[in-house]
Amino acid sequence: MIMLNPHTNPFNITKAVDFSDQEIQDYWIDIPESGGFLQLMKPTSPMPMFILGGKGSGKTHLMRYFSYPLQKIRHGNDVPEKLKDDRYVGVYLRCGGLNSGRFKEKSQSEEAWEGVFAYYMDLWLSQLVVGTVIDAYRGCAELELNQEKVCKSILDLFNTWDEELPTSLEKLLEELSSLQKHVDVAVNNCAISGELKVKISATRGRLVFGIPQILSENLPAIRECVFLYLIDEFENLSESQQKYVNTLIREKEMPCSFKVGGRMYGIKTHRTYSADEENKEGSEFETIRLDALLRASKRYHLFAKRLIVRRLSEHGYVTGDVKAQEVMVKSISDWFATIPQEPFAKGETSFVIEKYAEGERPYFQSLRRNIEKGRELGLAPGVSSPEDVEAILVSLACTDYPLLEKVNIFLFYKEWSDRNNLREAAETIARDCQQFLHSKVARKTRYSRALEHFKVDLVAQLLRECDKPQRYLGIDTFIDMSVGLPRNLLILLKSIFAWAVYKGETPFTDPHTPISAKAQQAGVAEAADWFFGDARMLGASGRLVEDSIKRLGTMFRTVRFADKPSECSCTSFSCDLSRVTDEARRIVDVAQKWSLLIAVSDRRDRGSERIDDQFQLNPMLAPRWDLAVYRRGVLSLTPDECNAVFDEAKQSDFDRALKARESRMNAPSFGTKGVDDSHRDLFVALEND
Amino acid sequence: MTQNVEQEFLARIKVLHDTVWEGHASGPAVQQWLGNFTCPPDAPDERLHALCLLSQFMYFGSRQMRVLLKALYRDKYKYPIVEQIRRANEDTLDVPFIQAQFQQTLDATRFLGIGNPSESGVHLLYYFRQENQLRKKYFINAHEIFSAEADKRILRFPQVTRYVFIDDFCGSGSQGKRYSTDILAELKKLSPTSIVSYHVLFATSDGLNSLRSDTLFDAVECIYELDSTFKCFGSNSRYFKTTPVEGINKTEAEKMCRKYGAQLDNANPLGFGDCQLLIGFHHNTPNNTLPIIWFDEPGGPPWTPIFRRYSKYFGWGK
Repeated sequence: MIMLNPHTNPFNITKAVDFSDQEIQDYWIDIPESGGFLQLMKPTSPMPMFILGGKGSGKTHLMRYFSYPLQKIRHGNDVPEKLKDDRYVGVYLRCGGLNSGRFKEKSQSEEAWEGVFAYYMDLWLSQLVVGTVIDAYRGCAELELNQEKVCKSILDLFNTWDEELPTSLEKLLEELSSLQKHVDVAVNNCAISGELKVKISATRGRLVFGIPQILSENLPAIRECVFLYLIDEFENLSESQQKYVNTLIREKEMPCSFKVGGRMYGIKTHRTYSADEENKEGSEFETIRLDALLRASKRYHLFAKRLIVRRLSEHGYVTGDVKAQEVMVKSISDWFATIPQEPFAKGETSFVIEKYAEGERPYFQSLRRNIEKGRELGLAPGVSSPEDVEAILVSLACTDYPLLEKVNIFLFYKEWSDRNNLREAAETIARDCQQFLHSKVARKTRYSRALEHFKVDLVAQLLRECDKPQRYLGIDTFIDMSVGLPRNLLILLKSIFAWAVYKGETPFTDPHTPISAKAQQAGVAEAADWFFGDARMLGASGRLVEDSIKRLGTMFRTVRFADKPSECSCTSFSCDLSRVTDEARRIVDVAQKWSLLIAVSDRRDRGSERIDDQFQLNPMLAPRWDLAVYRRGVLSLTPDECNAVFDEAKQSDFDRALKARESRMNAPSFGTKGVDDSHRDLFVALEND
Repeated sequence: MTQNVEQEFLARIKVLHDTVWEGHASGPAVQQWLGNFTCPPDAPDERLHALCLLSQFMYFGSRQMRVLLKALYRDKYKYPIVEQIRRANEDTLDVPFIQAQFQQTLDATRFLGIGNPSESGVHLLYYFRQENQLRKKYFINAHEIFSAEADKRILRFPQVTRYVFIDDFCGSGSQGKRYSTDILAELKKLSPTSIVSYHVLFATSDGLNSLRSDTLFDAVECIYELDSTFKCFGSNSRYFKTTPVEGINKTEAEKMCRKYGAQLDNANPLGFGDCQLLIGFHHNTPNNTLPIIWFDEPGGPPWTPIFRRYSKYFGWGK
């Protein structure tokens, strides 16, 4: 039995590569769709598959789950017979372990390296296959009877064999390992000796397909099995090395198939050495995009909650059987403190009333300043005296409900932006507010729509104006923040758990004491910083992407905290990318591949009916700019604005573009021509006075 | 955004707590400590200033202290002697010869602690001996330097030519000076050629200068010198040198520390000798550090420290 240790963070390990085989099995959660991952992966299918996904989308966990060591754990005894039922044998190879950077340069031709790498990879895969069969058939008579014949057939696959003739698969494995070591020595010493002394004794691909064929022919239990090569971390291979794997995929022979896992940016080529032909999706391979798939799944929340509960269960926080775990899945949100939802967000905004029990509330202070400035500049229709200012402020007040006050002010700014008479507008809004407040029937009105659309942003503005941190609370928020990347969810929970412990809490032990809001907020902030740092690419492109994302975040924040935000919960943008510079397009593409931007379905431009590309800023980054987690409004960027954000050569235009947008959304000018820039300086001067 | 700034400080403190502070600043402990600050509504945020200072507190845990004790012996005692031996012998590389010569010097050396046996200087000798694998015979108490013979004070170990006084911390240098007056004067009279050194782990530049100019020590050495930049509110304080943080102001921070410091120790509101330090060790926090960090004197004003100082119990108010 696992003893509960309050200092053990159940979310500490966030990478499948750090798990043992047993842990891969223990922490496995299937997607709650019909057929689950098995149907998705189709391990018996002869059609090769690319499994792409962002960092932490679960590729490694998924691929390892279908590998032989996990099949063995699941089957216990009588493995060959059970493999027969599975109809596949998973052979897992992590490209990160190849140290593939060795196979280049050192005064050798590219062709030489291509040959050596292919041979090295063939030897490696061969060893994995032979090792798997030895392990699966340990003690089985079937292998004992056939192995001499099998060995002989395998040796026939080699063009030449200088070593001792092995009569058992164990001996053969030793010989294959020895051949690989010779290649290792030759490659590692190449830079010193200036020579690449490797004797390639098998034709490319012959071992990879030939060995499974021989085993199939001679071992009845696995005769119907597909030898499924699970090649992970494809991004670690160079273009020419990927070309070799692509060639294997193209030239694939039964009973072999491939699943290749890699990050979205990791596919450098689909070309092959088969007359330089390119593999085509749908023809030579199919693709699944894991995070997009999880993101699109309506049951992602359920999957994520089960994932969390499994972690808690493995660390002793949940005892009992699957039923008990399912009970916790249903109640997991109770373990996180949230703000109760009340009519007109009374509890949610009580901090305003507490902090400003006396004195003018900050948003009224700001409104007062804006109206006074507008009056001085002749930009406040209907306001001609200090009494008018006072009357407006009195009209818009709704003391017990700060959120409604914010709605009033928001609607007031809309009226102002439309150049309407402000005194009259304030009186109308006040009437609408009272009607809404005392209405017994929920009717769709301008007022109710404004509240519905902008509530989250207006609460965010209140928090900011009262110097309170933004609230990212509750398990559903965290699951949404992870956007189909389970590792992001685990990172969030890891930080939240650590903060809760630091604050003296005992998370997940007493159902009556949920994790505090403060611990959640601190954990989310930490995780967001981690994500931005971790997602950061190296090199020049990395910096360009990082700077672009910062500019984009700044733009979204400017919209969210404007007097009259043009969009609600704005974390997405759309743009006609065909009209932006190549560099801007490239950076958007890289940011998307690194999961900093998430591609959303294309959007029809309001004005022109043109279909624009649409992207969401990864919600993990939302806390860095106090943005909403949920996607609602979409900022339509002009090509020039898009260039200013994503093209470094045009970044000097960014401040101007931002100011122009800011000016359109803020009092007193609301984009009045001629006021934007010249009067801005004046406003600054007035502010400083 | 004050809230964000506060969170940033707390995040930094949490990392330090989790890694190098040996768990001294848990969330509840920090909150209790922050409870000392009354935060008058018309003053800048005292809690924020307190967190800013705490997030820059320099703490040396048990492991670090042991490593420093190794460095003290190796770098300030052993290597200089080896260097002398080689210089005197045409830069010889004859290891057995050097070892034999060094052993002779070591045999003629005694290590002593500064302060009485209950104080930290002496306390550290135990670890100093362990870490440097030294034999017990090389350690003596200060009173063992001398012995009496027919109404006359003589040296107890006439063969000893080196006395090394070990201390953990030198703030103003006052204790070293006392030793110089009380012990060194007589020691030097009885054995003018003896080399008497003061080796300390941490010392302020002022303290070192004072010991070097105003005492009879032949050598005053330290491992970690705290120059004027370590003075919290000094003109070139390292703690307020970086990009200004919103809501943080050096003058306000000093004002706050003086206000509470005066309530805690009126004579030394910013730490003994006005050292204004932000430093603490596994075994204790020096009184030269800001009192708001460590104050917990029995009988004194109520105050919850974050890095408690175990005082010498001279008695409050005496």
